Amino acid sequence: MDYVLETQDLTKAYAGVPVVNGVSMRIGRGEIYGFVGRNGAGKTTLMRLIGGLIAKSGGAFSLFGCPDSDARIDGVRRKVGAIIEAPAVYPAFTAYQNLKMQCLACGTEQDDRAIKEALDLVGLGGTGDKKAKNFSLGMRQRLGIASALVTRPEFLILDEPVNGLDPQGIVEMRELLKRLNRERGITIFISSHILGELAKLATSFGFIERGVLLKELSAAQLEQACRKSMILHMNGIVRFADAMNALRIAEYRVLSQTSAEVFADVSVSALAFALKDAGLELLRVTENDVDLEGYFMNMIGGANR
Amino acid sequence: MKQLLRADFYRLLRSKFFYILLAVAFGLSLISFLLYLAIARLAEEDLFALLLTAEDLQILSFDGTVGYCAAIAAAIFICGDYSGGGMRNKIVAGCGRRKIFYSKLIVCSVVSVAVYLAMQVVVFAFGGAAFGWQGVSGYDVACRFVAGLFMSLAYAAIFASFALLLQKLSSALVLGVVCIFAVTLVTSLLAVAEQSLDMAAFEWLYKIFAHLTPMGHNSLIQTGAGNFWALSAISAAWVVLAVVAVPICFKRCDIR
Repeated sequence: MDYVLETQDLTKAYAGVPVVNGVSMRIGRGEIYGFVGRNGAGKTTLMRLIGGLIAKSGGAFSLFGCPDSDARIDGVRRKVGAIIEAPAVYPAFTAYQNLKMQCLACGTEQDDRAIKEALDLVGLGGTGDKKAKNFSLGMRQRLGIASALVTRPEFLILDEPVNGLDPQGIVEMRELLKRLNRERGITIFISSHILGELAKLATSFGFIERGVLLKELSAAQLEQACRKSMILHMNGIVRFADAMNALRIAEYRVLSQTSAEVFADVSVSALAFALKDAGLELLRVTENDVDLEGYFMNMIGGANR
Repeated sequence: MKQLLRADFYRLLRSKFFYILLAVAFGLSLISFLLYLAIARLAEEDLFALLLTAEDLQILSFDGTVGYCAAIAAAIFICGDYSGGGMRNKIVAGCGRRKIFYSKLIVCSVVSVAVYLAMQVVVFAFGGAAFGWQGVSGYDVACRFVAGLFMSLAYAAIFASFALLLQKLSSALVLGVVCIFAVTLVTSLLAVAEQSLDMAAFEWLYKIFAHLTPMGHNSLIQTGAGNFWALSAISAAWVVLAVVAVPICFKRCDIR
């Protein structure tokens, strides 16, 4: 697979205390990588390291296959757009002037149409001569995204991009990012505290806690891990498979001598009858319905123990 | 680099502070001229009034205003880029830290020189018309003008470096202004100590402060004690020092 970003044991320490601790991760081209972690877990620091804003304490990373130690890394960064911590906004300028500045600095000779297109894309097309200092937080966030997009990057680093957006804005932002990923093939590395949103957007996930990358998994793996199931507690397990066959349930797993997990949309009464026919007594049923948030909390709980 | 310069000038030319600084420098210079003119008119029959020339006004213009303006301009322009997030964007987008510094340095130099020229316009246009240049050495005037030009560049180099490395507007502003004030004060105190105490140590300290800092050059130019070409060379050395040393420090800097 073609990787846009690869890190190997990437570390950043302040006064000997690691904030990012030996992170090794990969983001493939075309992916939307959701980065999940608590406040202070090291998400922003990792993004800042990749963005070249802070110096690493150890390890290495490569962008588009170019190692960070290579002199050409600045040239490669031209393919990157980012909002890290806060959107870059010149308060005394209008939205148009802000984007013009970005285009001039990056040497992308975009015409007025491209700037207007970027503004329309984030819903700021009608702001006219209104200065950015008079924008709401949500509008600034949108302007930051337009600023990251106007140079037509191949890789977007977005640190909490939906901060300050209203519910409709959040949905619009999600759709925009999906569209950019689908139509322009932009790879997106995004962190957000709104895990529900992230779950609807990302195609792969990375979980970070106390600077350590706990786990990486694809959306399919997460779906597998989070999918709805029932845990059956019985007086035995011997003919459990017969009961499942009778109900034509293929997906189940035995957890212990008296419990099993069933992945199917089936009524409890049907299960009870089938188990009775197999000579088993259903003692208790618990539903297992974990979303990304629950999955994350379980994982963090595990990490904190 | 060219693109960064275009972006920085785009921002500078749309920033109010640039025009305000120019207006302040021009205004202060004009006030000096008007005061000078008033003195000349009041002492019409006096020999002193007859001896006044535009050169005196030129010497008087080396009062440190350019330094203060350069410190303010660098702090506002560079630290404003940090607080707005523009600096972050430029680095992430691969504009290159060295190029970013050079672009900022050039813009700050242009502001500093523009402030200097705004003051010199009053000297040459108004002062020349009101007092004339009778008996004044054209060479001296030109040398003094060039020394002032280099001094403006040195100010820009020093304060652009401060602002770039400190990143914070308040810190850069306070350090810049305090630096000018402190060096000027120390130079003046050393000059007084040298004259009144007549000790070689004070003389050397005064020479070091006055010659090695652009703030000290003001006192040398005003007293006529300095060699204009040497002062220009020292100012140029400050610029070279900034061009060489600051990118090395900036490369290791964590960006806010």
